[in-house]
Amino acid sequence: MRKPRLNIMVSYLILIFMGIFTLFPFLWTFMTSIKTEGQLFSIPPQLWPNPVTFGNYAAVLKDGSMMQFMYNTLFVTLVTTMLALLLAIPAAYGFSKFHYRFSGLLFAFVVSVRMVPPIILSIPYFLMISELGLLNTKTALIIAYLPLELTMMIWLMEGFFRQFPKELEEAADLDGLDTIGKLARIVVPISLPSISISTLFGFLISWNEFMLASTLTRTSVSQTMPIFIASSVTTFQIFWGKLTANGVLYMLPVILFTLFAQKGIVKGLTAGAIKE
Amino acid sequence: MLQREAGAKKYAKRQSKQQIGIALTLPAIVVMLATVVYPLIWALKISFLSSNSILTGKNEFVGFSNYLNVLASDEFSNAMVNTLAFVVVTVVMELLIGLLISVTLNRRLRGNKIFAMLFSLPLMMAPIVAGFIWRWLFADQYGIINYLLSFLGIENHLWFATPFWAKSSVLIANLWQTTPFVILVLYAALSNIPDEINEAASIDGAGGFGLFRRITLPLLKPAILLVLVIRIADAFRIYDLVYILTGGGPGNATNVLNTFIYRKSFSDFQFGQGSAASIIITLIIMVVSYFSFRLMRPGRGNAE
Amino acid sequence: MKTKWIRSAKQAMVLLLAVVLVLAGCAQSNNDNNNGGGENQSAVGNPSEGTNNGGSDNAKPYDGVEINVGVEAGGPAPEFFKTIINEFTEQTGIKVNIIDVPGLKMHDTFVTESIAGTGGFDVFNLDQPWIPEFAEKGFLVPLNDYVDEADLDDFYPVAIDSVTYKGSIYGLPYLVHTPVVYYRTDLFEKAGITEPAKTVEQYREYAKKLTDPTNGIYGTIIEGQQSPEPATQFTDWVLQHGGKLLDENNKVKVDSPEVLQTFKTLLAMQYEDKSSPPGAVNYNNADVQQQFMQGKVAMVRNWPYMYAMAQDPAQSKVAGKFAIALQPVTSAVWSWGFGISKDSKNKDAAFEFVKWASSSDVVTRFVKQVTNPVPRKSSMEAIKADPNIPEETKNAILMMTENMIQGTSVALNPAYDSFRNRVAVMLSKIMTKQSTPEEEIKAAAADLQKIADGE
Repeated sequence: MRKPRLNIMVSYLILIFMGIFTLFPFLWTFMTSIKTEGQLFSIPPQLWPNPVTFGNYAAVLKDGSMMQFMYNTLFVTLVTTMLALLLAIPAAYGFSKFHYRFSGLLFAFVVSVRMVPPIILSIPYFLMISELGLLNTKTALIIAYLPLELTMMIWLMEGFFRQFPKELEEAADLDGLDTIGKLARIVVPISLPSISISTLFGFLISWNEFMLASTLTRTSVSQTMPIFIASSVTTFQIFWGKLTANGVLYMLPVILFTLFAQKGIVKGLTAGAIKE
Repeated sequence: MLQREAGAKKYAKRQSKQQIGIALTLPAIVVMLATVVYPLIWALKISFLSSNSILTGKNEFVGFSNYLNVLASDEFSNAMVNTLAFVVVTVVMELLIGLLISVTLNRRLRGNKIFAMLFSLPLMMAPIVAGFIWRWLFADQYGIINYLLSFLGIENHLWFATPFWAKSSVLIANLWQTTPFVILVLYAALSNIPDEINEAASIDGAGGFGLFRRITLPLLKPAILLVLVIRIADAFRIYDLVYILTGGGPGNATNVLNTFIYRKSFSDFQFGQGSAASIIITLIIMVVSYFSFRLMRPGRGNAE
Repeated sequence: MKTKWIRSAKQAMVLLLAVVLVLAGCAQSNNDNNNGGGENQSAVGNPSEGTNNGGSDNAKPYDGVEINVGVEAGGPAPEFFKTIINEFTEQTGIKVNIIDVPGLKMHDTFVTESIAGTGGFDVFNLDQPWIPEFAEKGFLVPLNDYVDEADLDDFYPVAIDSVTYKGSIYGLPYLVHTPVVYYRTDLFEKAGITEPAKTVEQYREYAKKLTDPTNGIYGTIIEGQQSPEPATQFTDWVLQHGGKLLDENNKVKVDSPEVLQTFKTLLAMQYEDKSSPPGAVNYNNADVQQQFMQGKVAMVRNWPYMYAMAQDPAQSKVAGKFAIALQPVTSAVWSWGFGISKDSKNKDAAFEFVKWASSSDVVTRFVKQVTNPVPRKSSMEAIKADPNIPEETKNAILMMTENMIQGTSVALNPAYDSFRNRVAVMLSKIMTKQSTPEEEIKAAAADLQKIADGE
């Protein structure tokens, strides 16, 4: 297929423009994190800090407490996401292809959890968790985040599974596979890109959550990175250097993970058609 | 005889299909119920109690008065209008931009993978951090955006001083954060359209935009619908960004439903009203989602 | 078939229950459950509730007691207390867990904890506006029976006023302050101004004189953002025009000629004189701080904490080029202190901490480290007598304290948070010209009265 040159140029322009829009806040965040207090607020802003200082990063890493917060976040997010995956994949599959009397209603319930303003949940969650004696524990966060991840993942994957070609399923039936086998051997592998993306979104829900974390946790035993980052904001001033340095460090695991897993995700995306 | 047999067989098949459905979905449902039903019921319960009595533990039942107070309050109407306007504008823009970008990505030009990765970056920043970063970016004197604008001859633009620009700043920051979601989901959906279909269509003479409109778009409909409903629900519930960027100002111009609830609950200590407002909002989102669903997928029943 | 459904449901329930139990079990045993509330171990060695034990016979009367103190993460005072808390433990045997709470969430956290009644925090770091709120809702323990009358006398009257609500004391302050005027001595000289403004008219006049567009310098900053800090500064402007927002009988006084005049002055300074930057309608004190330290504004009002920062050449471009002065006429006094949660299981020990944190010695040392006004007369004497404090710093501390002593205690209301929010909306609307002062004052007054009446 011939693709006219102009067409391609326009496409690239669009992509580049969007790329700049996407990238520049990150760049500026990084720039801010390597400036000294004095340089931070120069009017007009200094584009290139001079001298560059990694003091903010050094302070964070030397402090060491950040590691604990990072670990807490990783632990909570990974456990929650794994549990959610185990539950969401069959559920989404079930909702998409195996309807039963109340399945529509139940699906609506699952989906509607995402429609509740989260603020109103903070007090009841606090009460519930403290009744269970789980305040200030990572378990509390896992309990609180699980439904949040589930609602997103089930919702997304149900949509994707519904698009799954019937022919492939029927072929699997003919091969004598039962439902679980079909799910495990045919549906999941082929839907991997969609599942990966849903997992990524679910993961990010827990990774970035702030409100419930601040309500249910108190000390570094269970507190997560968003709280740690937010503590750079005091009543009288915001420590931008610290905030941005922590922000950058906080994104690194996810970015690295995505880079690492990108072969799976993007390969699936770019591979395109489901070849028979 | 054969007919009845066939009928019975069909019935059995449907029966077992139903059972499989239940077995597959039950674990997730049970977990969700166990973790979320208590908070939801609590929120529902206190929406019918007087706020003062909630704090003292006396729990005085006041029927629907919390709901009526909320609906009658000016601040609520103001927040509602702001939120509705925001939802419409942001979702439409997200969809348009998302479609444009995902289609462009789908052309599989060189460097595609890098762009895809790049576009997914904003998702990895926590909303609360993004709020601070954008506030920092939009600062009038030491913000980088104004600095760059000054090269275009626009001096010291004030991003938070007027309702219009305050709303715009929230919109821009939000678009930055949420369009990646749309892009990725639509891109995944586009990738699932077999190349054969595109090829077949172009052989038939359809090309470019026509191809897009008649073949691709209808095939994308489910994905667009999915994204639409999720994004509507999310846009209605926007909170962190607004709270950090503008605090609801200036003059309550960017007060949205969630900042309203927050203030009612934690500043005014009117938990009963805050809860009633939450229930109202949830219902509104449900209704809006339902109708969006219906509109885009008429005639879609439950039965398979 | 139905039974199969029921069976799988039962299995699922059992499995789920098992999982939850296992997780909960792990949580209990493995986790360092620091919350001091619920079913755990901090009741050890608790002296009987009734006696006000001053530790007379026993060297460590509270040995083994643990208390949790909730503080603002990263705040200068909490950081200071952390460095010397060991002394407190040495003296009393009380182990103190200083728990950082993100500033943004402090108020909500204390509210949530109090509503749930868990007693997770024994001591709350209190911002004065919260005291009427928390006291009214019964979240705090009245300290009248705990405090020593003689000790109270050592505090300046405004200091104790700030922690009193309806006749009861709910906390003890370690920091009592009011914004001071920071002004550029070099720019004052250049403009031929010899001493700081003593009236509002003078302030306005000076601001106009000092505005120098060619050098990008503004005379002052009129904070107009819709947030708590600007609303607080606004309160001072109103006081300086002879008005007030709320009187002692809980009557809102916003719809008054004084408040109207206040707005007229501010609008004039912002839009006619142009002595405040255009962006000021969205500034809060953080912006004021930055602008001043960057040398972009000649005269500002800000809290005492900025003094040390502005004198630090690493952060400030105006180090050594400014001085502080009393606010014209008067200003409102605010404080930070500690109070005891009603759910605390160790109220006596908690009070020991509260007493210690506001004690003469500790407060004096705090002020030496973070230049601030002192709330106690004895501390004032100690500062004056200390030869190791540079003259300049001493004078600064004296000035700030002077400002505070003659400041005005503001009438507060339990609904102060919403009250202040509404004031902030009013301020923002008027300063961004979305409403005229006359209109908005009327509208705000009506709303504010409703809030003050507790509706």
